[in-house]
Amino acid sequence: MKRMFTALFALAVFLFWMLVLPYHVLYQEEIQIFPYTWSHLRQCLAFPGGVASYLGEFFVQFFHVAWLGALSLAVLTALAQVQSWRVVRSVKADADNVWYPLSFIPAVCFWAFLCDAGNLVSALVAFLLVCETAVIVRKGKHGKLWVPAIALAYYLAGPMAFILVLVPLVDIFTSDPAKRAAKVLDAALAALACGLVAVLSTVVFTQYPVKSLLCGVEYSHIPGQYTASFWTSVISLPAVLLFSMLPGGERLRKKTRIYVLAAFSVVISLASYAYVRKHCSRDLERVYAYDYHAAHRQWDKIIAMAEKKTPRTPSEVICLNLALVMKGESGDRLFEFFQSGVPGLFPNYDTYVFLKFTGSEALYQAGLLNMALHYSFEAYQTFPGGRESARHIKRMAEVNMIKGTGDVAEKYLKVLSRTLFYGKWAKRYLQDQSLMLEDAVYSRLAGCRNSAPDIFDDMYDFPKQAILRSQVAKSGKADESYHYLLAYDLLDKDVESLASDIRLAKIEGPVPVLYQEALLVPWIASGGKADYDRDLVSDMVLSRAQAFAEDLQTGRVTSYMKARYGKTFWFYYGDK
Amino acid sequence: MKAYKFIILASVFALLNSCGVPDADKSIDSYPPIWPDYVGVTVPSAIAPLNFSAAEGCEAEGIAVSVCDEGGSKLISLSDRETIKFPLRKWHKVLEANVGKSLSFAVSIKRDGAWTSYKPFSVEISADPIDYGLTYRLIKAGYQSFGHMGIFERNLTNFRQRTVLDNKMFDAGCLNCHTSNRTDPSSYSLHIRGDHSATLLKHDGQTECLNTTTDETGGFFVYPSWHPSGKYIAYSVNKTRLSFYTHTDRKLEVYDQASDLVVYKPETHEVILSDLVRRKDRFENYPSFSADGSEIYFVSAEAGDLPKEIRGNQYSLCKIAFDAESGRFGDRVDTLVNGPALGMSINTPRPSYDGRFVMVAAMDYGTFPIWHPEADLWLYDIRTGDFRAIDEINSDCPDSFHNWSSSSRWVVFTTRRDNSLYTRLYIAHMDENGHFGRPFLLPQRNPREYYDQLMYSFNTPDFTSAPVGLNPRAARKMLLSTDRTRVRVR
Repeated sequence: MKRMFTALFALAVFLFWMLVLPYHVLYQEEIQIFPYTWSHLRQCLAFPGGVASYLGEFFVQFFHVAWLGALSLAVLTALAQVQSWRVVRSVKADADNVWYPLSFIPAVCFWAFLCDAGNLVSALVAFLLVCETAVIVRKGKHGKLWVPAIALAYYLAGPMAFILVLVPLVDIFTSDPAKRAAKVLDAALAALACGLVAVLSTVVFTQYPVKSLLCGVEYSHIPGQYTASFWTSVISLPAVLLFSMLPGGERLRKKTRIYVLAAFSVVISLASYAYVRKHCSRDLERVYAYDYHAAHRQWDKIIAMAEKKTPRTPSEVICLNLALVMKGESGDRLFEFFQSGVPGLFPNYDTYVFLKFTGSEALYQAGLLNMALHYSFEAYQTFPGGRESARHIKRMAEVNMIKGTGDVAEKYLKVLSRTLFYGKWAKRYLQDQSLMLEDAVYSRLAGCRNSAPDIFDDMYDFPKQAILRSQVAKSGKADESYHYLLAYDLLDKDVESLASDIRLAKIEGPVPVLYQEALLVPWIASGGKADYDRDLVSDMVLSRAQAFAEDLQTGRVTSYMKARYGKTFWFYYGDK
Repeated sequence: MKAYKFIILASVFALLNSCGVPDADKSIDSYPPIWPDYVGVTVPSAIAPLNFSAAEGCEAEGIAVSVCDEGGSKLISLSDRETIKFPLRKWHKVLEANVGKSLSFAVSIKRDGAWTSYKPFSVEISADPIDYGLTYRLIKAGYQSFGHMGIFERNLTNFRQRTVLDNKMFDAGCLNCHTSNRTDPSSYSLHIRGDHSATLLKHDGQTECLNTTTDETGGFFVYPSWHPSGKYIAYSVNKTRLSFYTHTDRKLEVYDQASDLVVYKPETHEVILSDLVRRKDRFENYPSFSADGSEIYFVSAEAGDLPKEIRGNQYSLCKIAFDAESGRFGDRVDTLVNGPALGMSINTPRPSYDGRFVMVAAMDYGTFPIWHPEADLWLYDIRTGDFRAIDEINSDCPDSFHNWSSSSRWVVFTTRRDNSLYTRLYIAHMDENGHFGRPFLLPQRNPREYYDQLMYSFNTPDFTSAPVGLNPRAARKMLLSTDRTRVRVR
């Protein structure tokens, strides 16, 4: 019965990560790297909780594949439940099964804790290690063991080990009154061990702030910042332990016990649902999804998502515009969706870390390689906690291969070659970097390198429009850089530049409607007197422009204009 | 018969003990392809083991080495699948026994199941002493943000690295420009930028946090140099900017839009100024006290409209007198090497502590050599005025930030020769005539794995004669507090 409960719980956790927050799982893997090297292990063994951190990273590497990540999280979370009950049983061997549903509370707390992308799996691993320590010491039935056990658990799992002090404390209240004095001594020893470990750690690990040493060096991405869900997770086990010591329903009849257990289970299930839901952000999940699809060149999925719900956050808009450009649809469909100006193509440098991640994808695909490298590197460098990121190391390897700085690319490839999921890719290029020319994207981007003059700017950012223009002028192709340039002109309402930029390359097939609309803006503004590029504007668009100009002159209300022309460049142009 | 047996035994013994290579299937008359390349380097006797592997591309299945003294006696014999790791004690014992002599390293590499022996190479064990260790900053090779970084110290006799200060301790500020007084860490200056900016100064057994901005000087103190007496520190005050190259292989340019020199007197918290090194029409930078403290070497360039005129931003090596008794600057600036006339920009002058030379980094233009592939180290002879590129240690990649050991016989410098982005530390020996031996990469326990996996660059290295002894937690407390000692202009 218990196993079935645990299995159902694991299934629920698995389905949650698989169906509700799969991109959250994938994102977690992208912002860390797990190299199979001694130096990485040594690095982790050098601070308290480093073993938990190492094991946490080990599990997170499997998040590279969503279902494997969901499975890992399901197993770890289910283990937290099993371990919690084992701790309860180790303290009170005859703990009533009525309290069994309580053992799910720590696991649910960690489940919610991990819904925050700032928190690390290592905290859950630390919890499991601490539980195991408690069980082993209790089996030994020797109170003095608490001293070395707490010291060892602190080293392995970090300050999560301090919750161990509660086990001998609870023992005092559950033990035979005759043995109580000995139990008090055990508890005192355990408390003393905690105190000593805390003091010693501050003396030995002087490079860490005291707060991190007492609350966890690697439980969250930002050392020293602990969320409410972290503290709830930490105190959940002691709370469950104390509750489970209460007398259960031994005196109840079997049938009544079943009802009580069922009711208890339902209450905890509902509370768990509410608690996890409170910590689960679907909005963030959507942002991660856009970013993931952009990084993996899944343009159709991005457009399909946008068609379901118009993206509004800067990151989503950048991904959508990237997808439209890559699919060759930006010239026709840009204004079918919400637009926020040029930052919707490329974010300004002075922005938050995540937007730089996404922004570097757009810059990369637009062929602005130095900028892509810059944004990617800065995002990676300033990521809270200073962790390495597989995705960005890969991006740096890619850009350096494309730019022809092979020795730098080699550095990143070597790092990736020691990983499970990037190793094969990295080893291929380590053997021969020229193989990148076999990849269509790398090959296209290689054509963008050194294509612009050495533009040097004194701002903390780049003159993106000028670089794109220079790039397109050199290639003379109506490729992604070209469409990015024209999208830039459109979003910047720079019709004058568009009129000249559109001539930098020859568009095969019909000229996209939005470009034609932009070319007609001076004509509309002049009341049909100004000339326009007759080669590029079709009769159909011209007649629409005439209708638009008439409606504009008759002073139609905005709602009418929006309904009729909301997807045109003219409406965007006139929109304040 | 006895004589015959003796000859055989002696031959066997000689064979076992000779500095030949392990049983080799073939031999090649060239030096072994090893990494780090320690062929022909000169090292101090106290240096940590020069562990190495077969160079990449060798597809080695094994590597073996026999180390012999000048008499041909085999002192160490090792083999491994990947990396030769010398036992620490034995290594030091061998080096100490061979000070002033050379050791011969005979290397064999196994490929496709067969061993190939190479021409033995020598390593000179210099009698010139080196300091206890190095201090350096480890920083991600980024652009402008303050990511994770720290100042570390490294014991040169082994592989132990200790944190002096890590910016994770105080919300990711930028730690830079750490300088001790002629390698003595009891006088130590460290500048921190960011939310908790300060100049952390350790001197006369005290540590204090300074706010070094004044109305007269403008910005913070940046590049420091201690007066030999420890009573003064020369600093530059810089208005530094970054700009980015778009499509060239260069990434960025760090330059000053204004820079001056000042001298700070820690005892009185006074700043000493001179109009000669605070000219509006010139950028003065990188001050460095001479060995006797009577002069300050620095670099100076005509002020220009940067970054537009960046390629004309060329610095010259200059000096100005300084009287420690009165705490006054001299009344004229001497130009020692005219950078623009030579078509180069001279930076980071470091006078040797014996007063013989000034080592500088020189490149085509600008003031931040590490981003200039053409940057090389040059040597100015104070006695003769001779100025030459140190070809013995330069490479095709940036060779830049450097410092002397207290004996002025060793130099540590940063270079990107192994990888054009990530800087590493090389140490070179200089003889009494100013000639340098082949430099060697800072040894690591497993150099291949260490350097391959390290995602940080080494920079601002300096020798230290003892552990720095800065209490990181006390330093953190000071930095996080708002208490700053304000400096004032005299």
